[in-house]
Amino acid sequence: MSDTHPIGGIDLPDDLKSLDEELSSIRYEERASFQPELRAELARVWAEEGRRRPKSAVRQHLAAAILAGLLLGSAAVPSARASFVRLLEVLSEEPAEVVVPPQPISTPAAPVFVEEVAPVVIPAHEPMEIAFEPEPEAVMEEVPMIVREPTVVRPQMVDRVRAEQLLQSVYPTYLQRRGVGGTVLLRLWIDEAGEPSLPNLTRSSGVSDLDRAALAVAPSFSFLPALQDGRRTATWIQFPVVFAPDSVNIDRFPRTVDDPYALPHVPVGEAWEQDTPLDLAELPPVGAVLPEEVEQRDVAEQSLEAALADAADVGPLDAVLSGTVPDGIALSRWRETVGGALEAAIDEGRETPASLMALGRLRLRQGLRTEARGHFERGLHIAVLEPDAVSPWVVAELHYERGTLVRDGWFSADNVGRVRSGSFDPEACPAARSSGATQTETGYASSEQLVAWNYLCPDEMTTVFDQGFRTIGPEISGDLTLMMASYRAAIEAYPGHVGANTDLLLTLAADHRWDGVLAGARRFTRASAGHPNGLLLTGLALHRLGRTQDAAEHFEAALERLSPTDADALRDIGFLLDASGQTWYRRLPADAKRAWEEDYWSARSRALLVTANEREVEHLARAAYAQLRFGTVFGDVGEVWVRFGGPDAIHIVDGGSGKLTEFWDYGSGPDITFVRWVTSERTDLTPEGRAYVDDLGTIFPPQ
Amino acid sequence: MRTEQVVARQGTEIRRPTPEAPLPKDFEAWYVEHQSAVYRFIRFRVETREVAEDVTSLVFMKALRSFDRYDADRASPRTWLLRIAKNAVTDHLRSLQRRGSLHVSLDRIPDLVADVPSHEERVIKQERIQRLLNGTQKLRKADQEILSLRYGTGLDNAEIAEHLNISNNAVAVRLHRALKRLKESVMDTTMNGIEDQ
Repeated sequence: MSDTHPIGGIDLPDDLKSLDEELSSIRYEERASFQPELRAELARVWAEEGRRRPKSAVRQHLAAAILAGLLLGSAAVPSARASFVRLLEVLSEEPAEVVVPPQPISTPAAPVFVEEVAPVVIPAHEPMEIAFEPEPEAVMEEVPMIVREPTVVRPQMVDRVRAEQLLQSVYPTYLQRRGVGGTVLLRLWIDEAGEPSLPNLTRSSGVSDLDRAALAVAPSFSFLPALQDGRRTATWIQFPVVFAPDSVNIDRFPRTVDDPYALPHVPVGEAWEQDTPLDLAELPPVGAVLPEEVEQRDVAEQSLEAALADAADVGPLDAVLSGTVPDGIALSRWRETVGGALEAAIDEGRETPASLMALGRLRLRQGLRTEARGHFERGLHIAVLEPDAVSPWVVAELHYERGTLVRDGWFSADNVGRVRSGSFDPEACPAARSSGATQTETGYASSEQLVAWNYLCPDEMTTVFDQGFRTIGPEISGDLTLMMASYRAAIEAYPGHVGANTDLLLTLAADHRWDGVLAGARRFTRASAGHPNGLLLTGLALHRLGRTQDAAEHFEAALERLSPTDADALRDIGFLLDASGQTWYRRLPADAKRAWEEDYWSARSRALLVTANEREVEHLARAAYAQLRFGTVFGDVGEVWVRFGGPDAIHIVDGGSGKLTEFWDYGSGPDITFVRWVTSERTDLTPEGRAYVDDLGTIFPPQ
Repeated sequence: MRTEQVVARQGTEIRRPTPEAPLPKDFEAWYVEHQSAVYRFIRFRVETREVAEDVTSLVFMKALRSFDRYDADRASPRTWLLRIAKNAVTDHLRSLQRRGSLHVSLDRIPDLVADVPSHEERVIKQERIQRLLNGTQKLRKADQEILSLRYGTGLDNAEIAEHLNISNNAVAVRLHRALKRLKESVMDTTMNGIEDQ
């Protein structure tokens, strides 16, 4: 007889008891600012609607009668006056909207995770290509937590031809006819007998019917089970399923090439020569806007307007296009109105790449990433079918949005891992014993233990990371390739695209491919009429290639083109001063700041061989990189980058509960540690990291 | 300029927020006391945190506009707010269904978490939570409601009984049945639904 668990007088059997506990364990993380935001919105509505509400004729007459009575009879009595005021307040309200009581619901329940997909027979005359790639041997991967030993044979797919036939049978014909394909990344549980089950979607294709088709058919594949030390063992496997309808689709999505770091192919001519230095004197004037950009944005707005037809109250079209809520408009109301209008366009067959871009961005800001990606890819599909009707700028934006979605996934997994608790030798660091047992239940060290070891026994910590750190992220090379391909496609469509160029070149920079950064940044600068990002990246590359003087000139040109605030931020040397100096310096007016910076750097000039001050250029290079990569030179990350430059290596440890701890390795001495929250983009020094960074300032006092 | 014309034609009103403006006193208290419960009730049944925020906003807007019609003799404030929430969720799901994208989120659901020590366990737990929530969407609306009252809002049986105006025992029985159907639904989704192809 199984144990039972009472639920208000009714006993639950074990299986339901565990379900009850599981549901009860869910924690709901509400966005911290939501409650005050909504409260403010309610107050605003209350204040405005209270003012606007007209009095009904009956109520007004009644009020007048009561007013007269009160004035005549009891105006001198305070309590009566108070009642009178309250009464007037009540009468001034219009009849409120009646809340509809709960109604019986006749609509069917929602669909399920895996929907039934009827098999589809593909006509013989309809060419179709379905690839199940890459080869199973190359893609079957164990999840690290399952397979703990190195002597493992991965699950093998048997009868691949049958698998392809099965995929063919579920590929919806309407998608084939429209030329819609995609790649679905699946995860399956393969038990000891080789039986697949528990299909999961690791990454959507962006087309829900393709996802469902892949999920539906995957458990029908046949596998040989994984072997661990010669014994059969159960494991997860992960693999992509590619639906490629026909050759038209090859151009619909970015082409992938062997080298993810390849530069985009853009028109080559004298003006586009990537190896030709920029002539800074010939750059368009500051603030120049490319005429074609204005024109293309205009075309995009027209396309959006055509899709929206008679939809009312969507607000400014540029806001709709960018998915940004206009200032002062209630977020939820705007989402509802604009989302409804854009979806109506789809329902009525008026969708355009511009409207799909707008809807995708709206959904993205609602956290509906899968749906957003579907809209972006559908927009690209239409753009391929009707290239003349679409602004290249919209095509570039669609590719860029898709690339950014891929990038987010890649960054969240890149360099993330754990350290086996066995990598610790408790005798090597007696001081860290209090940080907890070295052998843990999970088999891995906690973030707190690692931080303690890092600061108490930094030399031993190097060995711990070298020997015990294991990455746990999914296979990310595919993501990198796809991300870069998306950025390349965006640049090929619109060579001056700021976001795609910046992200692509920063990715090259992170891999120290400075020749590529230089070539790409020069082309980007020319194509964008001298965008400051292009000049900063050119300066960065020149600096890293040892051309300090050239770098200085490019940084100077960029500073002239940046807004005063951004330029001020890049020049800021507050982090190089002690606390009191920093406060004093940052309060200076701009002119005084510039003069003081000049004195500061001239006193620290290291070499007389070049006109440029090497230290100042190094500072600008660090600040430029921090600005482009982290979006700001201020904050903890910016401070560390500006003061100490980039680390030699970064290890990121997943501590569970959405918290990542970053260890920035600068060679000898402890790593500098940060905490990054998965649910936000915020990265701060850990308390120990802050103390260490402050100590470094004390040990090497600023001059 | 095109944009200005559109603004003028469509009469979009740009309003500045007045965050310090007052709310009716009772409503303010209700908001403080029940906002989280209403949010969790909704979050249990919709796809993402952002959608939950939108629907929660609608619920309190509607409640604010109906505030002077509230009858304390008929229902407690929480019961009243949760009824509005129930209707708002139903409207939301219907609208999704109308546009053919009744969207069962296939993304991770990072705002719904459980206390687990490691990344893998969290990922597995999130997938499990996702599967459970997807499973609830197959259930009858009455089952969905009682599950969201219990596991979303966090009401105990007596509070659910008061809300639904049924006995404690009836709540326990309904919960038992709903859990049983949920279990079947989840198993059905992961195993049998596929083999039926």
